[in-house]
Amino acid sequence: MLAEVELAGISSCVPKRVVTNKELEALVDTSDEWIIKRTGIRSRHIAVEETANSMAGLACKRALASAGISKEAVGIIIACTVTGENLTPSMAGSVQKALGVKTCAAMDVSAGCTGFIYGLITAASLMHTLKAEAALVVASETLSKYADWSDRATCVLFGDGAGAAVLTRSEKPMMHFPMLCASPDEADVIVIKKEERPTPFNKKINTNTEYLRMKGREVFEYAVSAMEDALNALSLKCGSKPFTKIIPHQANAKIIDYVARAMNLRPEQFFVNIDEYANTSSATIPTALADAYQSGWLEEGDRVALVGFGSGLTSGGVVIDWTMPKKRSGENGRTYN
Amino acid sequence: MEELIIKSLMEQLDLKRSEIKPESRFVEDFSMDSLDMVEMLIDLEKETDVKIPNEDLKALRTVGELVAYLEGKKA
Repeated sequence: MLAEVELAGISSCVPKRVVTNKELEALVDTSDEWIIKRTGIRSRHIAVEETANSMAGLACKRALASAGISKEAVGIIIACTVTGENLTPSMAGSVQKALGVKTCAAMDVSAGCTGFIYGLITAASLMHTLKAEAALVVASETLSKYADWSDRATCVLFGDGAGAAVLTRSEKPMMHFPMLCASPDEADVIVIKKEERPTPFNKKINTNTEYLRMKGREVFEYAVSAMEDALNALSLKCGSKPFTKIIPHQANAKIIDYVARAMNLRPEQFFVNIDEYANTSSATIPTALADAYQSGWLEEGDRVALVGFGSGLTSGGVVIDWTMPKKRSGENGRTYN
Repeated sequence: MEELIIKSLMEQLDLKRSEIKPESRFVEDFSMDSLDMVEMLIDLEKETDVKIPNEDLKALRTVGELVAYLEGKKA
């Protein structure tokens, strides 16, 4: 059961270094035109001095400022990532330390690119269970460290970044219809294997550097069916008060275009910022939410559907009634500093 | 079957009906890449319930070849 919550703060943090498609032409056999046509991506931010944990911390500080609440109010921190810096402690623990929150519940969620939706729903459920007043949900990824920069089919697709949201209790529920799903990835269509470490008892193991591997056709087919299923289900649940705007996981602009066409939705109903950031896995949805809010695309009173899909194979969706008032100018940076 | 494929190509690629002929080649004539092909196949799979495996897809280079393949699977 979800607590009655609203999304009270949103922010993002992306690395300073921008890598254009043109720069990738020097690394692999590709071209700016080829990448734009197949993906809609024009550039991506790539971590150099930044880390997944440091971006997560900064995104959370900005999200708290955006919500206008103090760190003392935070009872739960959920960090969503597949590229956290440590096996342990968690990214959430690192965020707690960076913020200086003395006591709260803190844990990571790993659900691939659907991570942020899993995180939001987990946080709202825990707010009910733990009777917390506020929760931070952050998604932060450095996929550039796991991309195979010699593989032109995949390396052009990914970028780094973080986005964070603050949930606070509200008089009326403003988050509705949580949907989380996973089906077995029988064909291993999206995988980042972890390197194994030898022990005195097992020396025949693979210690090769492992990279993100993806089967393009299968991922595309899964992505469009998962998004259509989620949007159809959310649409039915919304009934007479439909969502009018959609923030989808930004994996490939062609996936979003296909879903819009197949479902007779208008392209302008979808917020798309993949051109600047590429696919930042679990961070795409909060980063898009932050940009949608800061650009004025999302307005108070909007009903917006968030939908995602990712490795696992996971998928999910949730509907949010947007309650944040028009952004104050100068609020929230995007770049790491 | 031919009508289904023509309709899918017209919608997806903004082509005119007169531009789509049985001998039209997906890659050379319509500049379709692998993702374009996947988009078309998803549309066709919804309509026909025929799944085209990757190994068969490589041999289907023209509209006519795709029509014959799908008609063969539905027969």
